[in-house]
Amino acid sequence: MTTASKLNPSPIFPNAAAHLRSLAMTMAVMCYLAGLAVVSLLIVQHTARAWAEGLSHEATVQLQHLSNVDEEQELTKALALIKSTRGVISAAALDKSAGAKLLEPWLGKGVTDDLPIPRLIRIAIDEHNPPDFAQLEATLTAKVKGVSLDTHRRWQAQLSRMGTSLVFLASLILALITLASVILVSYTARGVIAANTAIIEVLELVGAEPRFISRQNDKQFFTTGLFAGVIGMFASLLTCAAVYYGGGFTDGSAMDLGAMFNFENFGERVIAGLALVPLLATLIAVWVSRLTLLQHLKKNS
Amino acid sequence: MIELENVGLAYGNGPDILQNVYLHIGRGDLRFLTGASGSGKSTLLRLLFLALQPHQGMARVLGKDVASHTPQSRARLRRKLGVVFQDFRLLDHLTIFENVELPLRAAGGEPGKHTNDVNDLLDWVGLKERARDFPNTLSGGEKQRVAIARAVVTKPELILADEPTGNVDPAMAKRLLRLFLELNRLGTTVLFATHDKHLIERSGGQVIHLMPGGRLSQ
Repeated sequence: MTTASKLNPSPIFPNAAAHLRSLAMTMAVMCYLAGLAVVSLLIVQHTARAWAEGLSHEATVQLQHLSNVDEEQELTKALALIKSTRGVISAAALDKSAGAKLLEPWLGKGVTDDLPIPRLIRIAIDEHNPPDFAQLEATLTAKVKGVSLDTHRRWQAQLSRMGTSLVFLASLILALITLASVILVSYTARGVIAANTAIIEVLELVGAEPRFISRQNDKQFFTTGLFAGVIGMFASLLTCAAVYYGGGFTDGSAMDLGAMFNFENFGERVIAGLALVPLLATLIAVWVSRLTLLQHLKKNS
Repeated sequence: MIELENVGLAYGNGPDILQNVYLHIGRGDLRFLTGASGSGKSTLLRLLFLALQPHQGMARVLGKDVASHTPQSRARLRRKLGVVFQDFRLLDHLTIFENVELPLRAAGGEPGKHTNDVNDLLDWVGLKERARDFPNTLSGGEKQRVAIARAVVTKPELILADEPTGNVDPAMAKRLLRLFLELNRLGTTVLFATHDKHLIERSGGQVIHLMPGGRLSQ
């Protein structure tokens, strides 16, 4: 008896309450959805930033094909002007075949040979000290025929807006899941308290302080919240892995989505984000159930 | 130990269950509380173990006004009170040992730390061999002995017993009464509510009679 009591005292609130089993299952589903929402949020944030950063590092100059104009001469002139501009790190002209290759997915192979495809100059920009684009455009237009400058600012603004909207949506979903979990735990805690009313009464009679009773309650909800959180986290991790490995994200096809999302550097943040799910679930379960119990004790005192 | 001065008590807006109650019980006293069903015996005991508050008069238990407690101070005072009920109020999912140990755990003791005290008490009530069993395997008399052991494990100054012999046969009632008398001889104040006149006659304790309408006669 002595050893058994010391090593394994029975929990004062029995753990096997049906309410807690239902809560564990429902919270596991909530945590699974929360895990997916966290991953979506991180992907959207990461991708929007990566795209925006990529665009802000570069600008493109386009030279239209004009008859009676020496294209190579205009290209050299434009390159010289660009390279001499403050804030430009480097500038390189793409060869004709590179421009044709960009159009091939839409027009088909071989069709572009006879088309007047514009020549492109890719400009790398010093982010901290960017050039005066208005002045560069004015200089180029004055001195080079058929030239236009694309600073990507319009795309960048649209991407930024899209990114912000998606982050907002994912955050909203996460907040709704958290709210639903809080309501769920609150209802379950009331059920558990109702089921444990006789035990609570006995505890009060034998001189247990509210803090002691609440600690017994915390143990139940801690276990339930942690269990549900871990199950939900692993389920969402498995889903992400299945989508990543099974959805053609790794073979360079499908517009090279793997590279686009830059998953290689991204995994650690996803795992860190998912690790927050069981922590949050445990915190919600313990905190909300404790508040509910303390309210009950206060009402009855 | 217990001082009631002109106490009145009602549930909500209902009629008074206790009216103009005056009661003084000193340290080491043994008193029997009698009265017809519905006369307010259980209500009086609930007031004394701090589950109710009077709407009129002053009630002091162990020197402190029952209306002045915080949840924490109420819990601390209850550790100096032992309460025994007719329906035992044992926790069926805990062993007999754990049931008796419960007040010590509630007072912040580590489980298993007071093993000797608990075993001595189980020995005293004749249930040491059943320590590992669960309450649903015990008879009514055995359950009540466990409840008594639980009530006294914290060495209370005052024991409040609400019809503790109500669910047991006469032989067991006598045996339970002997336990209370023994506790009283050791200096514990006992207030014992019962209908059983034979039990009272056998004990020689003073009787407080609660009349219909919640008035006391001593």
